Amino acid sequence: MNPKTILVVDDDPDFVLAVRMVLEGEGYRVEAAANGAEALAKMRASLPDLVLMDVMMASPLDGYHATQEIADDPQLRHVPIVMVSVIENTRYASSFPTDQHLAILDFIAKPIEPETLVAKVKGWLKS
Amino acid sequence: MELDQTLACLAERARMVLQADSAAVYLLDKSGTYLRGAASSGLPADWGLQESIKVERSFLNREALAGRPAVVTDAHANQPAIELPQGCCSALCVPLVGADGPVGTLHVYTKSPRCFDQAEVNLLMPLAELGAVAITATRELLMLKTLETSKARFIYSATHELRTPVAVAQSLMRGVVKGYAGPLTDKQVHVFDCINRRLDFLEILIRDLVNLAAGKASELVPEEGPLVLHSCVEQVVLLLQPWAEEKGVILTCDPCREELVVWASEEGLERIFTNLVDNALKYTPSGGRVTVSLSRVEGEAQVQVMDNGIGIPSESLPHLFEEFYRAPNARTVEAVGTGLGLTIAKDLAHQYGGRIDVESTLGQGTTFTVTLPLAWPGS
Repeated sequence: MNPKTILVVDDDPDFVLAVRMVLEGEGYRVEAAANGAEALAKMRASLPDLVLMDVMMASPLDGYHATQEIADDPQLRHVPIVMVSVIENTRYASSFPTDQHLAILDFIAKPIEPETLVAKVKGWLKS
Repeated sequence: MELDQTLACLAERARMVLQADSAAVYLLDKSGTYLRGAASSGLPADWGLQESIKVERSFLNREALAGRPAVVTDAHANQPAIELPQGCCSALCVPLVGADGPVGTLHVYTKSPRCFDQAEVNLLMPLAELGAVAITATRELLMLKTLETSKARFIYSATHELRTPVAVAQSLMRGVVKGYAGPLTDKQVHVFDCINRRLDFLEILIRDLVNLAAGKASELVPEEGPLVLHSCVEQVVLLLQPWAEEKGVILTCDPCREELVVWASEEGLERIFTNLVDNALKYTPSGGRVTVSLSRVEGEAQVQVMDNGIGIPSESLPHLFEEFYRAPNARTVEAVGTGLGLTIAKDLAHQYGGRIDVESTLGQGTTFTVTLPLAWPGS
C-alpha cells in the first residue's frame, strides 16, 4: 500500500524539518510548500491526503487566505486541513472560515510534541 | 478623568462661582499663537465649532495671557465691538497658568451688562489656578497612558516574534530526543533534555511576558462581561486537580451559598486563579492542603486561596507583586519560575476594579485574597 501523503505548508524550513523528521519516521510521505500559493499549485498537481497549514506565512498567500481559496476550488475542498499556529488562543482560532465545504479538521499549536502529532495525524487520516 | 471632562467641569464651576449665564475654556496651542474653544457651560451646543482664534487679534485673550484679567462690561458699546459668544454682553477673562506657563484662558459671560470687579476676579483666580493644574495633570496622565500602551504593544509583537523560533527549536529537539533523527547515546539524551528544559522555560517566560503586556495594552484585552465567579474558580480547581493528586496535596473548593457575579473577562479570571492555585500547589509539600473559598464580604466578592505550605518571609511580602521577583525560599523549592505570575494576577485584578492581598507566616502557610466588585452590588 502506498504511504499517505501529508503536505506541510510553512515558510519556516526548520519547522518543516521538525515535522518531516517525525512523520517520515512514521512512514508517511511528506511534501512541503513555503506559502499558500505554492501549496495550491502542489495540491492541483497531486492531491495530498492531509494538509498541515501554518496560519501566518510570508506572501504570496498566507494560511488564512489559502484555506479560503481551497474552499472555493471544488477539486481541492474535500482535502482535510489542519491549521498550525504558534497562537493558541481559541478565540483567534474560531475566527477562521467555517465554509461548509472546507474541511478544517483541527488546530494544533507550535511547538509540536511528536507523540501528539503522530496520534493526531493517525486520527485525522481515519476521519 | 479625561481632558474633556476636566474642562467641562472647570467651565461649569466658573459659571456657578460668579453666578454668570455662561462660561468657556479656551486652550492654547503648542506655539502659543492660537486658542481653540475646548469646553463651555450655558452656551449653545454648536459653540466652539468656530475656527481657532489668533491670540493677538482677541482683546480678552491677549490681555489675559499677558497676565491681566480682562473685563468687558458691554461688548456692543466698545468700538470696534468686542466679539463674544452670541447673546452675551459682559465678560471676564482670566489666564490658566500651569507650571510651564499659560495653557489657556477661562471666560465668564453674562447676557445683561455687568461690571465685573476685583472681588470677582479674586474669586475666579483660584479656580483658574486649580483648573490649570488639573489640565496639566490630565495631559501628562494621557501622555503616560499612551506611552504605556505603545510600550505594551511593542512587547506584545516582540514576544510573538520570539515565540516562533523557540517553538521551532522545541519541535526539533523533541523529535531528536524521541530518536527520529537516529539513535542517541545516554549522554546525548541527557544533554538534549537539559536544552529542552531551558527551551521550555523560555517558552513560559515569553508566554508570561505576552500576558503581562496584553494586560497593559487595553485594546488587546479580551472582552469583559458578567461572569459567575464560582464557575471560573471551579474550572481552574478541576484543571489543577490531577497535579494536586500527583503531588499528594488535597485541593478543595468551598463555593459561596449565593451566586457571585463579577464583571471581568473569562480568560483574565482563569489567569488570576490559575496563577494563585498553581503557586499554592507548587509551594505546598506533599500531605498539605490548598483550599479555595468564595464569599461575599461587604458588597464585594472574595476568593481566598489558602495553603499550609512553606510560607513567605516577611521581608519578601512587599516585593511579591513586583515583576520578576521571587522569594528566596521559593527559589529553593522550585528552581524554575519567571516571577511574573503574581504581577499578571495583580494587574488583571486592578483592571476589574479589584485587588489582591496576601497574608503569610513562614513555615505555616499563605493566604491570597482576591477581592472583586460585584457586577450588580445591590442584588
